[in-house]
Amino acid sequence: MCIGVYGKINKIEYPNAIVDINGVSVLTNIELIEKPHKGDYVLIHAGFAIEKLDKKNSEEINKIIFKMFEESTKIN
Amino acid sequence: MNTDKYLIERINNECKGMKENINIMEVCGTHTDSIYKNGIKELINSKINLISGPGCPTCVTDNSYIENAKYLLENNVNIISFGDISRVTSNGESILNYKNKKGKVYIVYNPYDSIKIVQNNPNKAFVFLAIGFETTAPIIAYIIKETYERNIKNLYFLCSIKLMPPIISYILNSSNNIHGIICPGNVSVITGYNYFNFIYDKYKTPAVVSGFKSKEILLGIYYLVKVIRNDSSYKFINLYDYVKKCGNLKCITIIKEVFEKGKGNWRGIGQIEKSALNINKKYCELDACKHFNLNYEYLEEKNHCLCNSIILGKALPYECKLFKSICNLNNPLGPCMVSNEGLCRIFCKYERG
Amino acid sequence: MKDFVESFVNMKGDSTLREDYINIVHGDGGKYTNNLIKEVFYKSYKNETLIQGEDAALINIENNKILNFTTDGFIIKPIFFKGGDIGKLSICGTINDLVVSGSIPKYISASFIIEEGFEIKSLIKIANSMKEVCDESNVQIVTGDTKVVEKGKIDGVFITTSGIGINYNFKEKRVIDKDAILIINTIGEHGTTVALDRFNIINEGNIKSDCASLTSLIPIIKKYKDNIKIMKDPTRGGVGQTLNEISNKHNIGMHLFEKYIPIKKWVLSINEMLGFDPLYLANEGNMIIICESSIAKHLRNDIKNQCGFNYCSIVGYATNKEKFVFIENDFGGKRILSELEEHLIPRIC
Repeated sequence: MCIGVYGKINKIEYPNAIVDINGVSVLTNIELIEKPHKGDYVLIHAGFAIEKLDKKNSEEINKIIFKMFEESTKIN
Repeated sequence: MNTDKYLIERINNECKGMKENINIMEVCGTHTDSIYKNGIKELINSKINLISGPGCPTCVTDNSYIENAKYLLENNVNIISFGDISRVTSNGESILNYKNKKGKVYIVYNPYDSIKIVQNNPNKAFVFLAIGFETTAPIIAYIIKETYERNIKNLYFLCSIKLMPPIISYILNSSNNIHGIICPGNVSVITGYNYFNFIYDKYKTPAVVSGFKSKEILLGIYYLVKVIRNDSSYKFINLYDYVKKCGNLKCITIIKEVFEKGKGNWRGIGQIEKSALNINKKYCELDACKHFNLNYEYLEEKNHCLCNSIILGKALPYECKLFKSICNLNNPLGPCMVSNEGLCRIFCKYERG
Repeated sequence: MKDFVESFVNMKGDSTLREDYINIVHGDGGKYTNNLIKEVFYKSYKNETLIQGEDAALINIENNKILNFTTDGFIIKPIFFKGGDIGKLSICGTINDLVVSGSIPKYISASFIIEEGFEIKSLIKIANSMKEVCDESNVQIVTGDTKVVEKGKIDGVFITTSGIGINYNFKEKRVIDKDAILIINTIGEHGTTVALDRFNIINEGNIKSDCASLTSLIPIIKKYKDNIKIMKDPTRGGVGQTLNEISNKHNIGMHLFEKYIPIKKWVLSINEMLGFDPLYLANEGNMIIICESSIAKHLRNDIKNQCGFNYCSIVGYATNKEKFVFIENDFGGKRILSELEEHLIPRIC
């Protein structure tokens, strides 16, 4: 039951938000995430947003991935 | 550039001249489904074994849980369920098709719908079958809290929320043949990737947190193969955008508010200490086990089905005598055939033979 | 055609009816429906025409005139859905069965079984939907029947339609290695629209059933009728089940390519959420055409340009290399599209 989908918050109507998933609007509970804003990307599981996308976090991960490929290239 | 193709190339390059097998286990049903749906196994070096571990919450639920649900139905209690668990058979009968049922079975996608259902039927008793791993735990906690705060008197919860670290420990304790682990992505979203540090700290097994798209899984496999082959400085990393080190604090807080760790029943294994979340003292009046005085002793299934071994990654569906004969997509006997994330069902859908 | 008949009767899977009672899965249009038909109906009243197992029976009348005759029952829930209603669905369903049989639909009968208490306003709406499709498709409802049952005995209204079309000498031909497989429209929209209703998710915008009559394709089909091997409308069980039925009947495998399957983003997203595979969801305004590879591109272009089906696509080809239906993704990963054996969504048509 790990199934999760990703969508963008279009409108906030506490405790829910209307989240757009590729043109489909889904009512999603946003009480389990911190400071949701319009335009945030969220991960949805069983009708609840369980996390929002943090750009800084993504950048950190991209750095790790980049380093991983860089290292490989050096070894090879 | 096709990222997937590129990653497959890099993985296979990394394996050139490899003589030994590399065994990588994933422990998340959605990872299992994605691997088979994308036909990944056939594209990577055949010496890399992708093993599916206990990542499907329905599959690891033992029969005592199903028997308890049936007992409730027989006693005119209504059941609200996610769906999969209501179709698993125990002693030949599932919750959905139980012949002696007096209560009704309601299937929901969003567990919050339970509250609407019980409010529309105030004179009937309902039990929600709360099955899942850490991903679903905060959502169940949220609903339990709301039920309590709104003083709803006809909804109870039969909880079988399992925790990943004890089962991963169990597997690594009983096998020294797992060389790397792909950690469940959405569990890590809730708990933070710190939660899985022990895989390297205690067991010296490389691990990675991956997302669910094919290229995210391939990235995870690539990382593990590199580390296993070259013994590089990285041992445990997170590659999934939605996961942070300490996880989602709001979720962790609400889980601690409603649940406490307790014994968990695992199909094919028995009871493992501190491997499940039970409703704590504050909310215990909503615990179906307590309210209806249910017995929660582990119950073994005796139908010669190999699910017990399949969920631990010790056997493949083909090895089960019942696979695709008596046990098939429309007449599933074991949970691995019922659940969308069960390996037997995945094999039936995507694999040949 | 005799070998086709035999292979159909000896279809893979068990042929014995295990249950004593009808199970909801017997209505899914897949393996269990087929077994039920064989074990009960064929055993009782089979004849050469019936066991062809065609959607629309081919009937020879005097002077070499050939008619196609078809029938269908509609029990869909909800009765009114985005993009149509049970009336529109019933007429389109029958018309399309005739179109894929290589005939020009002409006359339809419509039998209603109505629940006591059903709103007449709604019935009028349904009847008007049916008329609209008939007018578009140059078809007439020439006879019908009306029955009412007590409240609670059925759900609203059920419709059974039968249709007659004039066959223009189209013959189904053996599918062979390298024959092209075309899908004319984006997939899974009807099944997804109807499924949403059960899951209580708000939806707006693009979501609607693809329910439509396919008579606009007739001139093109006629043009290529000697090169088209087989046509099917992938309703219950969707593209996946329909291709399996063809694969079993013609004893040939099929190799599809994911990147060529026409599908809208909203269908993909919703099905990811609900855990369904759009390849197995019903389509009510779509067609699978298998044809000689030499004319496949011309056929596709004509369908796109002359009939307005902008998403018409060659999705793969028949193959002797395997006996099953499988699909390849854009990095070479393959998976099998097995026969539908399970109960996905009830009452979608």
